[in-house]
Amino acid sequence: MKIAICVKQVPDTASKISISNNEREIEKSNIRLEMNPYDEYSLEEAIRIKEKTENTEITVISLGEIQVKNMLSKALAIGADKAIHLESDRKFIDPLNTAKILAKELKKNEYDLIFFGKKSIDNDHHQTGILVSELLEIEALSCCTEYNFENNKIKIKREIEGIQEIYESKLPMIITQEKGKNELRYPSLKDLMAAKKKPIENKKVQIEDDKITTVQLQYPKTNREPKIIGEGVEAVPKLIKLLKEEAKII
Amino acid sequence: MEEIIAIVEIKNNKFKNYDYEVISKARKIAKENNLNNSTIILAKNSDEIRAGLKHFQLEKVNIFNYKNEQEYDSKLKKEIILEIIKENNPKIILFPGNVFGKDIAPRLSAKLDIPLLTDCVEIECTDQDISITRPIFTGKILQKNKILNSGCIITIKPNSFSIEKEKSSGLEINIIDENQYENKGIKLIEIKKPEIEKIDVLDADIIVSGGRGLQDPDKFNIIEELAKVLGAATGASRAVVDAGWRPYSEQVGQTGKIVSPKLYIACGISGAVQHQVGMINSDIIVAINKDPNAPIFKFADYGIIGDVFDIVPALTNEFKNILDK
Repeated sequence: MKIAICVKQVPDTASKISISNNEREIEKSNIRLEMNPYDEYSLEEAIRIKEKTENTEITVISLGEIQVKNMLSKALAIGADKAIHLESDRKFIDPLNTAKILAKELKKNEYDLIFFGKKSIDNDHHQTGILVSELLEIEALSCCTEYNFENNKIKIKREIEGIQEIYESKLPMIITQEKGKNELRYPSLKDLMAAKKKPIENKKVQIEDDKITTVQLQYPKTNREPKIIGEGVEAVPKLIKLLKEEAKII
Repeated sequence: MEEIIAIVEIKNNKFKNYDYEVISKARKIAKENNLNNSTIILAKNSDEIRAGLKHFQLEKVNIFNYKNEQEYDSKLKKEIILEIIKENNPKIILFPGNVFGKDIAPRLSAKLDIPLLTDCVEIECTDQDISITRPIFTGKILQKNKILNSGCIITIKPNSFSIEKEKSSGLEINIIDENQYENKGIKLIEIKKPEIEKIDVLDADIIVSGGRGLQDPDKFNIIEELAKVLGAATGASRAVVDAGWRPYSEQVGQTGKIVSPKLYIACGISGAVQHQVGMINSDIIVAINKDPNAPIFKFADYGIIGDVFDIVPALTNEFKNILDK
């Protein structure tokens, strides 16, 4: 089976996110770049499929600037077999453009299963995997957690709005990955050394003009006035009174 | 004339507030900008569905009558919508930001080759352009975008817009009964509803959440009891979900659910930034934590310093007394 995982580099979830002086970008200093968490979950699921399925090859693909290579090396150390870096020389924000570039690359190989994280935690677009499925005209299911294979078919579990659903689909297909049940693995020193022998292919890509432009970034306004109203159980009646009379919600 | 189209899916005959937000916002933009307005509803047609629309003076309503709510996968829903709008000239297509909107909107974006902006909280539309504001980095930043010479698709973040009801003088509803659609793609083969019907954190007016301060999974009973008395959903921090104490469906935060209830009660949750971004849009935040330096006290409207095992049961009793009256 041939598996592709599209991965994105994003600021680490613990990073302090601030707006740069031009008010249109995120301040790049002081942030640590990492693989998008939902893409990490995808990689873990793909590795587990490989462990159970003979002749499986995992390719990680990422679109971005030069520093993306570090993340791809890490993905190879964790367990991917090869990597493709689609290098763009300029920034763009329209997810449809991202999807078109990825679709063009994915079309070159006959992947059976293509993973995307359900969203990236920087721009929170929540759409790229599904966009690509439409461009490639293959099946897709969002927010999935577990996979089983039987006779060339895949059984997929997802949990939506508190209800567990099981789907059956033929391959090829696109999966967008929810946080799974499996724990992530971290590469050992040996894995990191071995990864150096795995290939990272670099390809320069052309990007269409965006139909979206960001005009301003702002911090959300808050009119919250946090206060500590007391200590211990004695504060409970006071809280009830405040919820009733000040907040007026009970 | 250009058009704004609102598209919703109604299950079990019940409109949710986010469906009304989409219908109402589309109506408002259409009136302010002199655009045509149409509404597409995917649902099993019924009296309740038609009654659910009586508060809006809509120009054109298409109801696609589902034979069976489960029979249509998202690809098929996309095809149904494309067929309905093929003669239209959409400037804006609005969807709610629920699972339906998240699954269908990108499919239309790819097929119509127009951009999609998800989870929008502000839309300004003029003759010249469309400005759309949406949270990024799980709400840490608001990003204002402009659409350049193109139509666009927008999904609306639930609870972002008011629902403006109008007096309706009867609607022209077009019911579409088609049998030509057959699901050849992904098949839903099994549905497991939870044995105990639980309130989802995304639907709840009140959420009672627990964190590592609860010390062990059995002690979450105090959270569940308070939630029961309040008719609230139970939530959890990532730490306790990762530890396997609570299901992922309850996780609130950056890699969990982003919630905005009227009241959020955080019990034994320190309030790391990853949790904060998931619940900061709650109307009122109450925090109970024994550590006076916990970050959660920096953004909780009402904080109580103390042991959750004393305070939460006391709160449950107090609420029982008031709500019984």
